[in-house]
Amino acid sequence: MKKILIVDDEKNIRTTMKMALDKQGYQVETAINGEEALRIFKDERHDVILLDLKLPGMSGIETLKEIMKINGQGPKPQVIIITAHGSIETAVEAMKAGAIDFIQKPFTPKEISNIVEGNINIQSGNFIEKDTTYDGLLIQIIEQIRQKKTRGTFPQIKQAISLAPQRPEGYNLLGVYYEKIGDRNAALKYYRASNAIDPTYKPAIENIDRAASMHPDKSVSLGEIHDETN
Amino acid sequence: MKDNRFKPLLKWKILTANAVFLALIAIVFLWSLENLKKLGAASQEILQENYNSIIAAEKMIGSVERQDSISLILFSEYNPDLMNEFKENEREFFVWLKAASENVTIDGERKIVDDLSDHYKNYLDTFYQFMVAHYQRVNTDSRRHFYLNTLMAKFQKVRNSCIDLRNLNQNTMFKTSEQTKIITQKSRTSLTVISGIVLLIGIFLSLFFSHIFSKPVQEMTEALGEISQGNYDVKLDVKSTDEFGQLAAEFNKMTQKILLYQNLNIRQLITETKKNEAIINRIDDGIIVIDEECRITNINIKASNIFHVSQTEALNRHFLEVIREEDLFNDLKAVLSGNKRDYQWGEKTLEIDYDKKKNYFQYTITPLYMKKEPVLGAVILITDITKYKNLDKMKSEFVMAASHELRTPLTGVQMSINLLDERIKDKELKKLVNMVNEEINRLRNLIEDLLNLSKIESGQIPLNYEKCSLEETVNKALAILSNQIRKKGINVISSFKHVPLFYYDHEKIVWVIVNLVGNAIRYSPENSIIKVNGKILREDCYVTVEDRGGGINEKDIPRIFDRFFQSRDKEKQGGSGLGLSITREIIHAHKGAIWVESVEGSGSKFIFTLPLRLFEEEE
Repeated sequence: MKKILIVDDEKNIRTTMKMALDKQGYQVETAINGEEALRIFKDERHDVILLDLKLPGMSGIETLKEIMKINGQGPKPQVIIITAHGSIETAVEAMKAGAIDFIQKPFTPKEISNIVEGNINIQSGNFIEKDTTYDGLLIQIIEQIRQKKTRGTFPQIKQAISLAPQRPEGYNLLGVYYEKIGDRNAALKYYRASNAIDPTYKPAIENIDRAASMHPDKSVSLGEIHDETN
Repeated sequence: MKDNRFKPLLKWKILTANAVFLALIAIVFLWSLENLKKLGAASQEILQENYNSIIAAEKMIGSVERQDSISLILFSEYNPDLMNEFKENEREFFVWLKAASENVTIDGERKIVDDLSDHYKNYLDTFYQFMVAHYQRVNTDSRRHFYLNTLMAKFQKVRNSCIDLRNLNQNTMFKTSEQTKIITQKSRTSLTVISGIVLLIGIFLSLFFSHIFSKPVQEMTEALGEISQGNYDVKLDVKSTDEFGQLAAEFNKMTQKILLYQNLNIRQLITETKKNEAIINRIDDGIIVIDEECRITNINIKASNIFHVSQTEALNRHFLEVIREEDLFNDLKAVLSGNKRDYQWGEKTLEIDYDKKKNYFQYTITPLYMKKEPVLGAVILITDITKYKNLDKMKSEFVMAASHELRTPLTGVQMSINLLDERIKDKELKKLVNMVNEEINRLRNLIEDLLNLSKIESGQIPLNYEKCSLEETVNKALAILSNQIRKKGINVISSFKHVPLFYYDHEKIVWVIVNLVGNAIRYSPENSIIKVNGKILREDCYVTVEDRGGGINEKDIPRIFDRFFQSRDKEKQGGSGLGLSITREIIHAHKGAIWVESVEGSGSKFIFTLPLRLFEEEE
């Protein structure tokens, strides 16, 4: 059973989130602040952590960094950031510190269970390519998208992001994934995240331009690895 | 320059007059010469008379000598013919004697003629006595004796008298001729000399008088020149009492009065100017006065502080040399060229570092012009709006923070109600829960719009200028609204004639068009038409969104872009009431304008403009 930790200073948010996730069959624990979260995580080593950025005392980012420190070389927990501030920039800082995704307040129980489900599969290891590098994963993902098998690439993209959350390519591909399945807003959100991580990363800029201005004839920019390495 | 223009015309006139005078003298001179010539001719007449006398004397000598010869022959042998000839000569002699006596012209000539007449009569008497009394009786020798002793002496006397007469006349003639020559010569010389002297005197007098005449005129001209230069403190020396003197006296009176008047005026002007300067400098807004060539003619203390220049440095320099604010300058140029009659508040904001922090200023530009004349200049009034701007920023930040804070409880509400919804099976209760959900969604939209509006207002969402196609932007917006359009069966007609690609923020304009077309859809009847047009007018792109809805009440038009403004038609409400505010903020951020034209009952037409930026600009 997957273990989930919810860190939020708002009692009602904690309670409703726990209720929504309990129903999905996860083992859910809650923490009221950063310090408590670290204490619980030390013993339990949760698979997914839902972390509010704005916490009393120790901030969300500090908590995130401490969690990563405690975790050390163990299997990486999937940290999803909860933010009330809509700007991508705050989320990107957290991503650089090791978070894998973010969700913006206000959200619905459905949105919470979806984002947890989307990220937990990566941790479960079912689809994970063993002994692969970030670049190797990207090549596989791009190949699959080319063969019109975009739907199956989600876990690999998530894995790639969890391997190197500080690099823009993964988020760009996540944007491509959402664009292909028809969720333009989500696509734009991840293109922007990619662009915020590395403002010079061209495929993300091209994708933002295209997605925003509707050029149906233009193809998506996958950001081929050999392009980068050459 | 000035001296060359004032030629002493009077002087030349006088000189011309004198020249006529001199010419007359010359004529007199020539006439004198002519008279002299005539005088010479008169002498010639005298000479002619002398010559006649000489001829007479010569003739008389001839006659008497002939008579002498005849008498000698007669004494030898009588011949009546000779006697007749003698008498003939006698007559002739008398003719010439008469001529000589009538032609007495010289002193002593009368006596000679009288003597001659006596001598000749004596000679004739002696001859005729002898011929009558003695000729028959005496012989040739006696006759010869008589001739030699008596008649010849008498003849000699006559002849000598004739010769005397001839010589006298000859001498006189010669003398007269010589004398005339000398006199003529002398006259010519003296006349020439005198004429020369007269000419010289004439020239000198002409120059002298012309100078005398023109001098006061010149002095007056110079004085007037001084006055026209603005120096009213000039005085002419009154030396004479003639017309010039009177004129100079009047002139002096006049300058004194002008001087007095001038001083009075200057004092008033100075007072006015000082008063105005004091007022302008005391005003807490910046004031700059510009002439028609964009030079600064006045700048108050506040304005000089705002632009970091000293007042004296800024004066009379070109606006751009002193104040490097392109936007302000462009507006100023538009006003000066007469394209824009007045420049009002709030259209543009200047950001200037002042007092070591960023300050915000708004300005008005008021053109200065007389009726229907080109613009003479402009007055720029610059107001510091930093305080208001800061207040506005604080407000935006507060609203933003509040919106953020609202999100957390809203999340709790939404989570709870959704979980509740999943567990409720009762239909009545489910209806209630759905209503709560709807209101939560509305609240969410409201919070999002508030946040966006605050962000745009406080400049936290910078514009992302890209070269875009207006057609694509509109199509994107229509794609977003496609569900609503389809549901109401609305036909959207769009046209974009000759609109080139230009720079604007594509996403934000999509937002604008979504807002405007979304409103149009909301207020349109089913199956009606909405028109979206784009066209270029001068330097702006005009976009219009026109519907066939109910239109807007005239009273509502000025408030339609206000926050939370809702139309009276409550049934059709549905937005947050912030859509048009956001739209306006986006258009203003693009430096464009937005307004609405509507007649209640026959639809509305929203128009916005975007500056046609064809090239990338530094923001």
